[in-house]
Amino acid sequence: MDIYEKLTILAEAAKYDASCSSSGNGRTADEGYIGASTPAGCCHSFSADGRCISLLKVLMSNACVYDCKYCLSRRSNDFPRATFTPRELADLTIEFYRRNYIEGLFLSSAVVGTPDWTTEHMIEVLRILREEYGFAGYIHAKAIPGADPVLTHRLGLLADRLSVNIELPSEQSLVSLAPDKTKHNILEPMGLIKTGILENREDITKYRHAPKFVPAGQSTQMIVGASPETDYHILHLTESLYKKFGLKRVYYSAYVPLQEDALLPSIDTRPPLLREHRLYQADWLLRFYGFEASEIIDPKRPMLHPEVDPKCSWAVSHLDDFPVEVNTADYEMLLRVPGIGVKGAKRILAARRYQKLDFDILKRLGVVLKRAKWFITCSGKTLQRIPDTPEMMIWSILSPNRMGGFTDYGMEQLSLFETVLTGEDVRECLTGEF
Amino acid sequence: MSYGGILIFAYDGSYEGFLSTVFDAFLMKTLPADIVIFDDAEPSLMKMHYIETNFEHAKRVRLGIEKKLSTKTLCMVEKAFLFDGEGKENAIMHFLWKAFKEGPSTGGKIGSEEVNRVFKMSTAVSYEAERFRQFTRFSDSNGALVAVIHPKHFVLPLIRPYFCNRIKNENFLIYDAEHGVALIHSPEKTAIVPIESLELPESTDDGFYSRLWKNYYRHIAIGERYNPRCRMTHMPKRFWQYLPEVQEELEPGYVPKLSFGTAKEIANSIRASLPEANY
Repeated sequence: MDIYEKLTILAEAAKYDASCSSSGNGRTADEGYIGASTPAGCCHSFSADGRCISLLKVLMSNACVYDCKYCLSRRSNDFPRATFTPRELADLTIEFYRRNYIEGLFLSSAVVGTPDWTTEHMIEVLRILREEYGFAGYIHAKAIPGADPVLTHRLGLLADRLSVNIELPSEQSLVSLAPDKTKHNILEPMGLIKTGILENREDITKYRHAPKFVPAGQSTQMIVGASPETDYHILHLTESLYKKFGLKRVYYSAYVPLQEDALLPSIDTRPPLLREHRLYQADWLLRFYGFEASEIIDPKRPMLHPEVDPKCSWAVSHLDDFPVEVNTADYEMLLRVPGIGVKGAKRILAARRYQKLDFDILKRLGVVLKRAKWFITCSGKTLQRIPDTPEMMIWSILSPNRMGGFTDYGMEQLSLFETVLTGEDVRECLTGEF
Repeated sequence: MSYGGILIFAYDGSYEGFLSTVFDAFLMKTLPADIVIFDDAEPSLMKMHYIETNFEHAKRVRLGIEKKLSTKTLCMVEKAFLFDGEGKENAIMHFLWKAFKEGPSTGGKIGSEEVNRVFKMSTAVSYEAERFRQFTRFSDSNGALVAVIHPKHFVLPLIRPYFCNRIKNENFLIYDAEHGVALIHSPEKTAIVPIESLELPESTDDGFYSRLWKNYYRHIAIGERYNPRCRMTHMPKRFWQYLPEVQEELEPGYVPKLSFGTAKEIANSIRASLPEANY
């Protein structure tokens, strides 16, 4: 089998992994060698589904011994199999890298033979890249659950980021859909990596040349929509992963039905893209906006609102805290205004040290007022009359886009929290940031 | 010193030339009505003041900005100067005039008009530079890497560290066809030099890796999530000409517009806000 065919099969098998970031670590190659990575990362292309391509994302092999029901590479599936040799993959990475196609390598693998054998094979790819090519580009590797901790540690010394996929958001789902995986053997390597990172942090302060272990931190991914868990459950799980395991990112992947199974959603189910989008929005609130999961979602309404983004629905149910005075509000409160993000809030802080802000100046600063105007005042003035009930507020926020939808669906659909999705919503969500 | 009437400054278009212009303006205590480049200067009834590039003056202005204002301000001015649009010199001049009057904090007053213009120009340049870090593609010709780009602004100085760092062991060349300048790098030496024109040599790897890459690109997308609008937002069409993976999707004869969007908007706002010249 030639490399063209292998790449086809193994890229195809890797595409359901959501993560593709190349951020979190900076390194430079030694003189005469190739590669550099920057903490901000860099996306070199975007695939037809709008997702970023930053790394060469492939499986080492798709010849899996496991039999997870949702996965195409499962043992019982009659499917073409391929395995890269370490040298092949390392060479390919370098050739793509020097043409500026990619920022590095994302290496995952099905479990071939044993987890140990698979990990050793992956280590060999990374070793060739790092030691023979002196490659300092970004490498994201998957830790294989069940592999010897010593091997995982070696993998971590060569990679920038490690991740272990949590796959499904609860133990019951794992038992029914991924019978060969257990909660324990997923969380175990995660814990190992966490302690590894903590120990390494200490070593680095003590010894100048201590090798860095997983310097860009670890991440994980779970499938949304294959099992019955609610957003409430998922967001609390996410929060605890951030807190307990110190993860850098939790990725969600909308379930794309690939095969018929009584335990899975039917094959004609559309991937829940809007739901995934809302989860990512909530995830951003957890990581950058100082929100707690319990503020974003409560057990009585365990799903995120499809029409309104999580920050907006928080704001609408806390109208007492609004409007916020742009000239005096503190950073934390500015961040909670729908329509104002980290950049906008920082620019406001910088600019208001020198002059009173009004709406024109806000526009000049690049703050988008479309949404924010309902929640802020400048020196006590509002841009427009602000509605005082949550229902009216929702109506005001949504109406500019919804006018077209009214004739088709009628006004009822705008009653708070019991809405039907329109084609418009889906379109809007699809164009949103992934 | 009085010069009676409004003055136009003409300089040679180089950064040092512009700094010499700033030097002269402060020396003459005169804010010029316009700043133009020699070659483009249209005959006008206003007095022309021709400025010869003086490296000593330029150095003093640069040091002055860094010491009296801040390194951050210098950085912003340097970036804004890479902006390719009408009236940029005048906008920077007005900003510096204000800054030297009001002190080192001026650079942070991004809410004020004079500052905001320069701030926007520098952000537009940074944005463009980031796009070319992402979407420049090399082809291999006898072991040397070659790329041609058509950026709106003069981004080579900004993308230079990125490329010289990541492929420092290679010989490469990035040709900015829009500005007639190339970044040339070999492991021993790097330089940005003016080049009239460049025939792009055929790739000698027979397009093998670009074919592999195209194939990879096709297979990494999830069909059920097809979303061309999202892709277009992140990867605007004017960059597709560089990208082997999407070149085929580009309709034949597609010519990207170069002067539009932010650049034009900013240039217009600069024009509109400057004092009306009395002809």
